Amino acid sequence: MITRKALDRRTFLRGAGAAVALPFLDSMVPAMATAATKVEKPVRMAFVYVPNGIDMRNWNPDYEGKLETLPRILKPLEKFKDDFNLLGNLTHNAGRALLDGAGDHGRCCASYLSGVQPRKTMVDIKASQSFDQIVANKVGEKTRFKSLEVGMEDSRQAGDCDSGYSCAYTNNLAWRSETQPLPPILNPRALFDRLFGADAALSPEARKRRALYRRSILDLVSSDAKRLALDLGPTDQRKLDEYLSSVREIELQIERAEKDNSRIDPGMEKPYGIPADFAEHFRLMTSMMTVAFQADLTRVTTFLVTHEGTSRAYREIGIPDGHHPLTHHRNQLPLMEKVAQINTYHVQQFAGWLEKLKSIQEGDSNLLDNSMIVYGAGLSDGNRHLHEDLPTLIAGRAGGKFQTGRRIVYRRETPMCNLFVTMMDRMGVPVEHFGDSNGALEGLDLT
Amino acid sequence: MQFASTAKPAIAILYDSDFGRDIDSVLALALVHGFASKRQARVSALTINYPCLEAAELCDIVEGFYRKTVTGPGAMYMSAPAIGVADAHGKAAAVPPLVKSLLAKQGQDGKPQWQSNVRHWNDTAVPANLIRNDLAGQNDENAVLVTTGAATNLSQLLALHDTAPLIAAKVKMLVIADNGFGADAAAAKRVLAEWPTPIVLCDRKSAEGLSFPGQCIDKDFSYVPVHPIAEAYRAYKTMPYDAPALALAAMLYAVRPGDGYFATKSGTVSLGSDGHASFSESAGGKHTYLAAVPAKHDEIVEKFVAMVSAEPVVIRRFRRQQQKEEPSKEAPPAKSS
Repeated sequence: MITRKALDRRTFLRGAGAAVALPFLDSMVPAMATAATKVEKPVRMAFVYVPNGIDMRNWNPDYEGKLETLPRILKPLEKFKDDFNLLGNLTHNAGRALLDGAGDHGRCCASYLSGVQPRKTMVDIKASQSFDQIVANKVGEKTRFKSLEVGMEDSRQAGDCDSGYSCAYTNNLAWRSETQPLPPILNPRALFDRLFGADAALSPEARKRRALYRRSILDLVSSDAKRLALDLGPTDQRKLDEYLSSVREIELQIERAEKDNSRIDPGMEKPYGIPADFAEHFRLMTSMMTVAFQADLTRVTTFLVTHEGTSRAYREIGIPDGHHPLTHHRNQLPLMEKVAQINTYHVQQFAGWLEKLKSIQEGDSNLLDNSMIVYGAGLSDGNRHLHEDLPTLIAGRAGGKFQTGRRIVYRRETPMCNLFVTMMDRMGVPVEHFGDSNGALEGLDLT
Repeated sequence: MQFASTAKPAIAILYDSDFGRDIDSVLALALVHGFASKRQARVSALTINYPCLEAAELCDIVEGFYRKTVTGPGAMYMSAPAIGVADAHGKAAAVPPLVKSLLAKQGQDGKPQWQSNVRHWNDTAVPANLIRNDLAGQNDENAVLVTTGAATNLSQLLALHDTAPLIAAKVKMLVIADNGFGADAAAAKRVLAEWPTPIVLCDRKSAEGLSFPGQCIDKDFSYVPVHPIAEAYRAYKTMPYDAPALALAAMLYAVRPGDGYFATKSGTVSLGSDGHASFSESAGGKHTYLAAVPAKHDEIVEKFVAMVSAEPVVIRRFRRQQQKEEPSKEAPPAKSS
């Protein structure tokens, strides 16, 4: 007779004020679980947003159906082409001028997840609750954090960032309410502390002691981990080791990045703790989002890679020009080439995240399979500020519900919000409509 | 130095038609382009209310003929407008002979005479979405919807979430050229019952005595070697003939309602048992019926010819976008019934 109780999904390793959540372990499934009572693995949802549009000549393949040869910008995703769908012709009408004149960068970012045209103002900002937050409010009841908002550049919330549109519009993706954006966390150290530092539960003494001895957070919970390991089978022990190692690896990456920063002169004022290297910063933030998904700390994240209208230069790939000015290339091929290089560089970083997600086993599938990761932009052609045919790919199988590996082109003017309605449904938060949606997206589900 | 005007732009025409099924529907598009060349109207959205991809191809070719006249630094910011086409639901409509003939036309080099941006269904737009999105960008009461053909697309527009208030705010009137409006009876009934702004009916009787003279085709369109409108006219019927002008009349009223070309009556439009819209006069009725003023027939036909054959004007486009209209200090004019 098997009597051993299953390990609680919400088990934490604790010690000296710190708490570390655990990944999904086999021991969390009741031994005699039937198909009906089996613990359903959660579906996660993330948005990775890149600014200033994409060089669409090198993004859109000239075919539909099964993904074959990928266009240049998507080449870094070659080995994941069975794991995502590339969607065409999705439109955000709310990003268009609609009588509000210039300001496409402000509008496209603010409307991206909120589905409404933001009020053109620098003071009394107004958009709408973004759909990720509607989902977060529902599924977030089951996780430690309702959602995570992550970014890599500039979180100013005031001032004019685009032709009369507040910086709150260009620098945030998620909106808790129509007047309250959720600024992204930019500093890996802050994100780490948020995820693993037990936040307010961490006493000032514990925080002080950690700083004093530079001890790993894992040291603080090590005795609890050892005790737990005694109750685990060999597979779960290996999983636990791998997981704790990845947490420690992130700690070390942050420490290394902070040390490196003291030696690098970026030629600008840079907040302490943020790596000077773009790829390293990207890897750190996505590593932590991975752990947050793995440990079911949250099921909803948004990642504003850089903000709309950014003029960040990409010296790391030999491009000293600002990103935004380059996108207004007026069809000059040398400038378009640089835009394509930046776009490809971003996708390379994204591929690294997909690799990580896919490497993490969850039962008979993996973390990527149990997710919906959207990579996209609020503009297609940044030169012309177009809000139609938005570059959009969705990776992951939504917990086995999506059929992937295809290029699907919808009819023109199909609302981007139709994708959101579909995703909300797959997250267990069905709605009749959102923004300007007129239904769900066809063709994503397994037939 | 001249500065761009901030006044309300010319009236936006959204044209939902059975484009290519007859020559009248094609001439009506040319007519509004003629007014556009004089900045008296804007061609804002084009939708086709029968499921025919080829009709959309031809519509795009005609649009391309007029679009080519836009030059200047802002021209690169203009993308090809989407053409909306009723969903085929797996069963496309037969291609009208006029459409077939024009798409098959070859140039002297043996290649197709015209190239269309529309090649697949997903090169076209969902009509209801296209109209809704277009209306969202118009000044209040500065758009007119003109329809000829079935009411399918308009009914689907009304079915979109929260669209009625948008229509009420933006659309000055719906002008129906009754040429198969009731072919989708359920859709027609819904439009007549739920459309939130004035409805104007123009039927065959309204346009009685009006036609488009075929004799002008050879002389008035010769400013280009091959004119798509002239070719469409020749392809529709054996020349010479004068074309019916129902859609032309409806379009003329839509753009120039105050020019006295038409007499109007108030009453109620309903769907007759024969599938046609019928009108019963009543004081205070919420619909309007048009009748071309006989004394103005010659003037109307002259207008048709002048506008349909108008040479596209080269518009130098700077990157200026529409602005919200400044609130007027005067009382707004009363809505026409």
